[in-house]
Amino acid sequence: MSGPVLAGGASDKDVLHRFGYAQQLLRDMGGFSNFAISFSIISILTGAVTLYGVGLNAGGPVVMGIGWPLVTFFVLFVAAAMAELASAIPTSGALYHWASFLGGPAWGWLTAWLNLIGLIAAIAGIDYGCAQFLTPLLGLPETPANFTVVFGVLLLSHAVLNHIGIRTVARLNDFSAWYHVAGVAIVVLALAFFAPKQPVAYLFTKTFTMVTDKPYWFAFLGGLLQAQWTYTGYDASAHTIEETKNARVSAPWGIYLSVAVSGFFGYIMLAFVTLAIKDLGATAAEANPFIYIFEQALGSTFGRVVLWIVTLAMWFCGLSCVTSTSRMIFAFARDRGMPLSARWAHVSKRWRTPAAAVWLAAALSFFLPCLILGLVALFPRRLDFSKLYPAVTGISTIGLYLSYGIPLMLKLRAGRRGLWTERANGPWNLGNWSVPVNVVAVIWIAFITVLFVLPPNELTGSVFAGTLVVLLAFYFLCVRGRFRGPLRQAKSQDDLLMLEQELEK
Amino acid sequence: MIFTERYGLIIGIALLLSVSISAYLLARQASRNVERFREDRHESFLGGRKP
Repeated sequence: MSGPVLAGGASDKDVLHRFGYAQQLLRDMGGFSNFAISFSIISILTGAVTLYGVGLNAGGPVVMGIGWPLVTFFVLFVAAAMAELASAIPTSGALYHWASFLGGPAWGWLTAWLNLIGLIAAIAGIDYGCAQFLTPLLGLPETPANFTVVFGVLLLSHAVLNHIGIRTVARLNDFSAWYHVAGVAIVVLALAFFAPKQPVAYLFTKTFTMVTDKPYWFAFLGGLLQAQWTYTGYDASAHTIEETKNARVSAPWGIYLSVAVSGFFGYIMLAFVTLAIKDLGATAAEANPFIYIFEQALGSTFGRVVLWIVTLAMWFCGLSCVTSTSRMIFAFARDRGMPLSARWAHVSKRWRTPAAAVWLAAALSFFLPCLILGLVALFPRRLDFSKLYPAVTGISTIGLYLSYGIPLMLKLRAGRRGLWTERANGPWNLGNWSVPVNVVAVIWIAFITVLFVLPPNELTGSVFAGTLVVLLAFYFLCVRGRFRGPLRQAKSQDDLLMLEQELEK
Repeated sequence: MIFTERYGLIIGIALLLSVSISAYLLARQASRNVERFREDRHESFLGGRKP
């Protein structure tokens, strides 16, 4: 491990200085806000509504009753392993920095791009999905042009809020965390009091599948993607670590608890919704089974209320995604890992935010669906937007999980070679449990990466393989030897302090 | 399918218990180590070294 080993007695700023970085961003987030940003990105309300059909059609109620806790179990290991690294290397580059320190610049560069691709595709997926929900709710015709305009307005709102400060975004995220809990409470209480209920055993024993050409266990595995797609983006707590007070403890808890709390509330919600199913076959055949269950159980008005609740949850989710992505761009550009790095690493003096990185994140996210729409318009017979778009957004999960997996794998390797010792750990660590937890996390990530590209998601696999080939070709042709990984911003502590004073003028 | 219908309830409850227990144990382990780190290095985290 080539990063600094952190001795005790260090404040947040001291720690950052030891990594060679100045405190450029405003460190104003408390532990709850750090948790809230990841909790908002996981967004159980968004995941439940947009992905419920995936699970139900693949394996029926058993996917909710058994599949959700099964995935939660393993994702907790991934989160705990990531939390340890966040505590040891508390910089905004997060996964990219961890991989660089543990495996060198090549691993760092690959991790950075996988993470960035995942994050940008996630913003595009969430905000375009939000636009698809919001457009009809506003009474506008559901056309690609209207979706794109609404999508652009949503992105603009996220970029403006992220530009004007982490304080505003943190307040909104705090509200978002309570909003998600309240949203789940409304859904659960309404169904508990007013909807007819199946027996509890229905959740654990009722199998059903729309997959006719494969055995049930295979279909069930496909259904696990519902939970796995929901559990993404909790690296946000690590990306905002330079803006979090008591960072080496608060941010790891943010990562871990966002998964644990989402697992708990997500399960309660999915259980009540599934137990309110009247006709399983008819529900599975609907375009949005989650909303259909509400309409059947509580009437169309309540179904519309749920749609509004979820649409706002998606907006909060997109807002946090832009925060996370912009910090990743900022950190990578600070180390000159991107074209025009100096521009993207610029920090606004007035707001103390990586303003240029915020707008780049929004612009790239807007560009992605526009590119796909353009390609579909050019080749209408060959390409279908409804198939291609989920495939492209599907790569967000693969990109994110591979970027989570690489540093965990490198940490295991460094431990085996004696390069990562107990002294390198941060305060939030698992002690003797660290290695087994990391092993389980890496195995799970390898397993789900295969699962992500199995039928019917082969197109996602092809798009991702293409992206990976382009990335590797770019690295070997243009980057190798030039990119050196994390760079100190100044030679001495005094120079770092001067950099900070310039921003405070 | 028959397997799930017969043993699903037991599997489900066992799984829920496993998730809850492992989530708690991981959190407790981390929490203890944070405390140990704090004591070993006399650190308050918020403001550097404890007086």
